Amino acid sequence: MKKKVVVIGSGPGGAATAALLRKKGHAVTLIESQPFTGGRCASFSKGGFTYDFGVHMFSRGNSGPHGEVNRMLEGGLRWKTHEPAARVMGKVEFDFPLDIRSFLTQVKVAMKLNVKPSCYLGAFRLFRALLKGESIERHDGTTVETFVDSYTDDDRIHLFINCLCQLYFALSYKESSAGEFMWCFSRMFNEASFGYPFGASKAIPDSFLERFEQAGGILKINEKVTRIEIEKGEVRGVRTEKGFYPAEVVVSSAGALPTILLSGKEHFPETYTTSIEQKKGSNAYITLKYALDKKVVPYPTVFYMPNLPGRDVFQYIEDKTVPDDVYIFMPVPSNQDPSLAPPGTQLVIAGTAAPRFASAELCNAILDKIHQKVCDLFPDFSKAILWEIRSSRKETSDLTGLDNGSCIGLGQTPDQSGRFHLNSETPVAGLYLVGADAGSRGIGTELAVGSALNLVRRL
Amino acid sequence: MSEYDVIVIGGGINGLTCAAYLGRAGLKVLILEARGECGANCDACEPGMPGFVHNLHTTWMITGASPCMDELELESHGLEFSTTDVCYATTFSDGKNVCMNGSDPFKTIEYIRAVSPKDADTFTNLISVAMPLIDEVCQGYHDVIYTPPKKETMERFGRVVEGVLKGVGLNFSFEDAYNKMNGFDIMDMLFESEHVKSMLLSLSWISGLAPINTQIGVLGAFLAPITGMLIPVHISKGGGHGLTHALVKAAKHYGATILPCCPVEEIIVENGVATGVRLSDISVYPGKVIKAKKIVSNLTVVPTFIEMMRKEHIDPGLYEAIKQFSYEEQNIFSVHYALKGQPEFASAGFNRSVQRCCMGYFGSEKKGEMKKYNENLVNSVIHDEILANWFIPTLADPTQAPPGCHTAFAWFDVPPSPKAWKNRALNGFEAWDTIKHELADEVTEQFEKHIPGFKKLILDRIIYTPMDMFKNNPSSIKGNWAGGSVIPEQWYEKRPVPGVLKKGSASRTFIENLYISNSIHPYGGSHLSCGYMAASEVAEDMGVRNQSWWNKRAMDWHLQNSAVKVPVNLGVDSKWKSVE
Repeated sequence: MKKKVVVIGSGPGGAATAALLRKKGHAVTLIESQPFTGGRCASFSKGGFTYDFGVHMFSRGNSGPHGEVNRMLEGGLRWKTHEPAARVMGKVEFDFPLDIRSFLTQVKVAMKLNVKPSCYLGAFRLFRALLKGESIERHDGTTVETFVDSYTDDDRIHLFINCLCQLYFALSYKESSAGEFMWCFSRMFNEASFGYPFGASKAIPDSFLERFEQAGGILKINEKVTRIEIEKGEVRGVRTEKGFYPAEVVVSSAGALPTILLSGKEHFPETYTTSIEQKKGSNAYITLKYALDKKVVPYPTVFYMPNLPGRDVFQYIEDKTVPDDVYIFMPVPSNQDPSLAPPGTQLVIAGTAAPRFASAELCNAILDKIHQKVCDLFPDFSKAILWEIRSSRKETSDLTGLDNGSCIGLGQTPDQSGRFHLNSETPVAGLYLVGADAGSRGIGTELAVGSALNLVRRL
Repeated sequence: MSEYDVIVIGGGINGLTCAAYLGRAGLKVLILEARGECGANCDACEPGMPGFVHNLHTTWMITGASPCMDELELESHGLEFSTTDVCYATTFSDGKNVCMNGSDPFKTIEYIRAVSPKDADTFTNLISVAMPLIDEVCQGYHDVIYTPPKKETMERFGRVVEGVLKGVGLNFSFEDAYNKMNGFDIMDMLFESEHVKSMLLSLSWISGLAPINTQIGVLGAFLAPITGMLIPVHISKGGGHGLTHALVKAAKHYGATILPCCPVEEIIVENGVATGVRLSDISVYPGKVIKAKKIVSNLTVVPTFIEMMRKEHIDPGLYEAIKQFSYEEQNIFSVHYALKGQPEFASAGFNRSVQRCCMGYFGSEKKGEMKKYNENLVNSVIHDEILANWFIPTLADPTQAPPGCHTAFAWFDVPPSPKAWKNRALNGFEAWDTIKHELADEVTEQFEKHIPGFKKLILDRIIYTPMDMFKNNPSSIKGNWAGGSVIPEQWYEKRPVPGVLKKGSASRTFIENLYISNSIHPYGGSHLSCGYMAASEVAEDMGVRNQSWWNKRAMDWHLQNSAVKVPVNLGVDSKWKSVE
């Protein structure tokens, strides 16, 4: 039975849902409130530089859900992978390999990380458990910190895993679910296809949307949804500033809580609404985008681990203060796809986690810290800057519609991961959620695209 | 005025290594090779059916643990390794096997647990104590293998071993054990299962350290368990000659000249100082004399001093001692097969991992069998049972056979001049051509026992005896692959013959300006240590040792790169793929 479907939001989750449903023959309209498509994956252009709004880490690249949807749609999405994958900087400096399955590489990583020799074996057992990814469900309810503690108390390992958690989930490892972390880690390193899409992050939703439109899907941009119309527990359609779109199925990638508010709380059982209201969001991510007049950073990606005790490196997020030293994830998109910057120049994106609801002043102070750190790491950096663009918590909120600035949405905490993670079903017939909030497992946009795959298989 | 700074006699892998180092250090180097091509003992060829490359000599490459990897930039000169994750397996006729996983010691522990939980626990303890000492272990390996023999070096290494054994609750004096125990004793002390013991002992043996010996067997017993983890099991892509080719390219790249078909007749010595060489009348430059400041002989000790040097330059006592130098151990008999399919091991039902293993051992299941074999070997008797190191190189590097086909071979130590086999008297070295087919049939039967259906897979069979090896390379007297027997009388400070080397040197001989890069410590092998040490000493004496690039340590390359750069066959369930 072919249905009338409205999809809200053109991020990777919405775009994948729309394109896949259209491919199945449904009549699909995709409505995007912004004047541009892509949601959290949006990229923009300035002076020949194509930069991402956020900092993205596509841990599984072509072998993950992005690649799977691309293959289903026979799309043209291509990935660049690097071996070694990233440059670790900080107190120690080394190239982090993409393939760490071999014991020898693990020895090397442990040595380079400066792990205490007495903690080597614990570190190897930890790597091994993470790579194996067995009994994930059993570990869902534990925090990553507890999990790591059961193997080693080495500060360097704790620092590394803590920073990796922040990168994966925008949460400190004290808040992240060990099962979820294990799932992501084992897939990332076993599939070894960590990469960056050619054409910047927006290439992901764009390639889905291209297939969607080619297949006759209708895309409306710059049109804000004002109401999801529901009658007698069944969805009827979507009202926007410009009109009404009747629909039997509405798929919202606007996030769980915004979707409830758009529909009206009265249509949902109170328990459902409260449970969602009480869910914890991920941290905010704030970024600095640099246009440089020459190539300064020779690495595809930089992973800077601050010189702080491993357990407390993200204490500043709890305290809402400026840290002494700051963890930075810094992809260099133009090193991965040279077409993203004019010849001879370089595009660098540096980001870190910030507290939810962080004030503009606090965000700016943390961004100043990043700026200073990046300039310290690369002596030629400050002289080469053509311009920089700052995205703080407020810009993220504007883009995602989440006041707290959560960059992923619901946090992948022990009580919100795996089987406790929200799924696509809602109490309203015909209304479904996709996006990071509704995904089952994965990192950032993989949750979103994965949720689209799951939903489309069911519908 | 010398035409060359250094002449290297013999373009084997160690001669090439030495020349490449010295070339890189800025010296003008000439390599004189008697044959038409370099690398006599590190070669691979197609002696039988076309398309099947047989590694008649070096197959197991441990070059990955050598400092030469970085210092001679061997990768950029075309050296490529490949391997299988299960790097070693001992198969037994009781249907069991014990495997070793080169990329994951925890898997090795699982494999051991299947035959002996107690030994698995011991192995776990050994690893947990040894791992934190990884830096000391690497340094110890470097010192023992890549620096001139010194009592203190072995003592230091002994202290690392003592530290590890203390961690597993054994009060152990390395010095006592080193001189009084042998490899068998050490294994009996550590493990209970014959399966596990024979896996580790065979590893020690095939790497050249026969377990029956004191000192040598003890060292081998402690190095064997780190095989796979720290001592790599690599196969050179395209065949064993890949290493030779890379070294030739490196030597040429650093400016060395290589002259093939130039056998040397005489090392010219004037007043106890080597000044040059005279080429043989059958060389392409008959009788030509070439002078150099330093001469390095990459031939073994007998050809160097007895055949290429006038007797008057050598003290009569030393002359006799050199003539007595033993070439009777580390001589091998090998049988090479071209196969039309992949062999299926009888023990695959016990542990299927054996199916993706490129190197292993069989025949050692009976308690004491290996010891009897080793004793027979010492007494120049060919052992009845075939205990042999087998390879299926195509599992790691499919390019060595046509698609779908495989190569396999087995090699084992034999007495080069056998006196007896199966109650049959034999007339020594000359016997090889008469018994080789019968002996090869025994090897085929042993394969059939461990791999049912093996015979049906055979397309072609090549036999290679110590006699063939000698004919191929007359410096390998009696077909000895190690540059002379590795036995306590010819080990470490005593190698090759007391009095040949200057005190405290690895390669400087009693003839001024003459160095030797064969028959010296530790022994010839793909670790390239002999060439490395000769190069170090020549460079020191020429004042060019101090080079910014010449500072790597053994295992450096392996730890840094191996896991990433060496393609590993993980079997059919591999998910590995890379995407551009």
